Amino acid sequence: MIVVDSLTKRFGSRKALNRVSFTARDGRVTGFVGPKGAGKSTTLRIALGLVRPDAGKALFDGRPFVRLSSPMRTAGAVLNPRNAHPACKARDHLLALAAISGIDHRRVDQVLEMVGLQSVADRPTGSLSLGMSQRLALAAALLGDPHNLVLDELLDGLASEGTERVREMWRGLASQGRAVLLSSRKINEVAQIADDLVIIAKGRILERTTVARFIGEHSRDSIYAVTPQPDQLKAALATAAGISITRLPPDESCPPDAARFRIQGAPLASTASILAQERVVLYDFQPEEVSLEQAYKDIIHGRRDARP
Amino acid sequence: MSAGSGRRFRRSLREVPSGPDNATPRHGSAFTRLRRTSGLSFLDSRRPCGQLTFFGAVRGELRKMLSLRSTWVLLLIVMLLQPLSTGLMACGTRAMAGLGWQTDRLPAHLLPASSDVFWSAVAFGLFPGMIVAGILGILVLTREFSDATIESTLTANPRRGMVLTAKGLALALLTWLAAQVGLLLSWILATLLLPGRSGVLPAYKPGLALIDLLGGPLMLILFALMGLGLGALSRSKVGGIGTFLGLTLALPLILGLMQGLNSHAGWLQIPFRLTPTSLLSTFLCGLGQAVEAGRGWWPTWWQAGLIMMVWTALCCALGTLVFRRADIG
Repeated sequence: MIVVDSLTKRFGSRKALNRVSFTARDGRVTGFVGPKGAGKSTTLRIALGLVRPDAGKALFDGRPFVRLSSPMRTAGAVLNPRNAHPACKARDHLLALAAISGIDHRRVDQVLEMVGLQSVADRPTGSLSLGMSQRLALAAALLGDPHNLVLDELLDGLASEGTERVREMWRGLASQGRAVLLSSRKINEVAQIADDLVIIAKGRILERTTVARFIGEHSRDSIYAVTPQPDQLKAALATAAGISITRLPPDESCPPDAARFRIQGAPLASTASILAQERVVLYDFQPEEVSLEQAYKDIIHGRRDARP
Repeated sequence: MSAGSGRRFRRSLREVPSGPDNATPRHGSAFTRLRRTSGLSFLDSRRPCGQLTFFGAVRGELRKMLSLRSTWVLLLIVMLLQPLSTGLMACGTRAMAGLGWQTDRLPAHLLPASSDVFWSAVAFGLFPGMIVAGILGILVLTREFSDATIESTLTANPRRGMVLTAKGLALALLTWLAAQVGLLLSWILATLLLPGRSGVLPAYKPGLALIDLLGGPLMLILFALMGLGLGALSRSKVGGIGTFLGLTLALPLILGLMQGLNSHAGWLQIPFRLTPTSLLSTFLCGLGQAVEAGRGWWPTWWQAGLIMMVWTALCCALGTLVFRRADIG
């Protein structure tokens, strides 16, 4: 279990973290999501002892990382995909790390196989692609068979087939009782793998929830309509119960004589029938699924009122 | 331990653990109990628990250093510079003494200094070797900052003091090996090239031989560690190498120039004699015979060694202080 407790960090006059607290629980994948510069990497670096906090603490299984007697057994981390000397062979890089904690060299072959890099094990790391480098960094993190995994933006540079492979691996690792903390800028990718969700922006935690609850709260079906007869449209739907109609600001795609609407709480087919009966002219009429990404952007930009 | 438990232990060594997918070891599994059978077996840990140990950290650093071609190149330069320098100096000595290749005797006027000439030729290569050893020491740490390897190093071993000490020990071991082998090659070459090879030199000084042959490589270790300390202090290749070259080459040059240009700057001789390069020279001359009458205090060979240790300790202490507190990334 990874516990981050009231971490505060200031770089010069800029406050990078402001009392950041959350927990990545055992047996679950925790998505740590935020835009660039939100403080994700700083939080993870502080947790791993690479950056000193001004206040607060981070604990791995109840102990600070720098005081662990078996750090590689307790936590594996990927902070930078290219974290090996470019002239060093992939296998040698892992062997050197394994030697530090007395990990057998056959474990190196095991982790290379797990991430699918056996064929390039004797190539210099500088000649590996970004995706391969990321998998090598992941192999290094898995060397100690750690109970906690910290992965910083590892999904962002992986090729699609690599992404599916590592997703399955992380789910498998979490199902073995490990805590997996995964930071990313992309909530959609995190939502496909994570159980819990922590959203951070401008150094503050904005939301701590589960992915299921977040989807339940923020996903909603609605209808997008563009019409030159806004008053008729409102009048046609005014009698239906439970429907909310929101007029959207005009955009470039909207004709100058038309208005854009979001209609929520109404079934598509019956809404279309009513509008047809009332002879409301429509330029556009289509189902709209408000994405997680939109809900996430609403949260990080402070537009909580956009939530239903 | 009972016979039964002994059998269980031996069986655990042969165990190849696997998780549900037959590739992922179960958490808390027996993967760390596998037998150690690497080609470089001396670098493999004997501790089966995946626990952080100082000797594990040293083994890791040795593996890391030896897996890089640049380390081998620098160590080879340290080693080969010495016989090369000795060869050049021996040939120069023969030429200046007007000796033919068949002659095995020094002219009478050189006999009193024959030992000094011989050991100067042997140890001459330590001066360029000192620069290379220092650069190696700087690169051991600073290249980790330039390619972000430091992150994987510190997530594998978050105890920065231990990391730096392990690097220092691995560096010292490799530098000593390269310097010692190089010095022995130089000795053999000097014995072959310089007059006196058929017998004991007239002015043979056994103490000087020990100081140069055993102490010379130790002095090179001090320069390498000084480089490591400066690398930890600056955390950049350019900054570390610049500071090192400033201390070893530029500082004595500047002090010497100031002394030469200003007749009232005689007191600068003392700081000049305390510069690392001058200390190495004093040490390799041996036995304190470098004292010049009326020229003030001059350290003896062992004092020079001690002062050089202070230089190294100062650089390492400052480097450790900065490295332990620095934010990474």
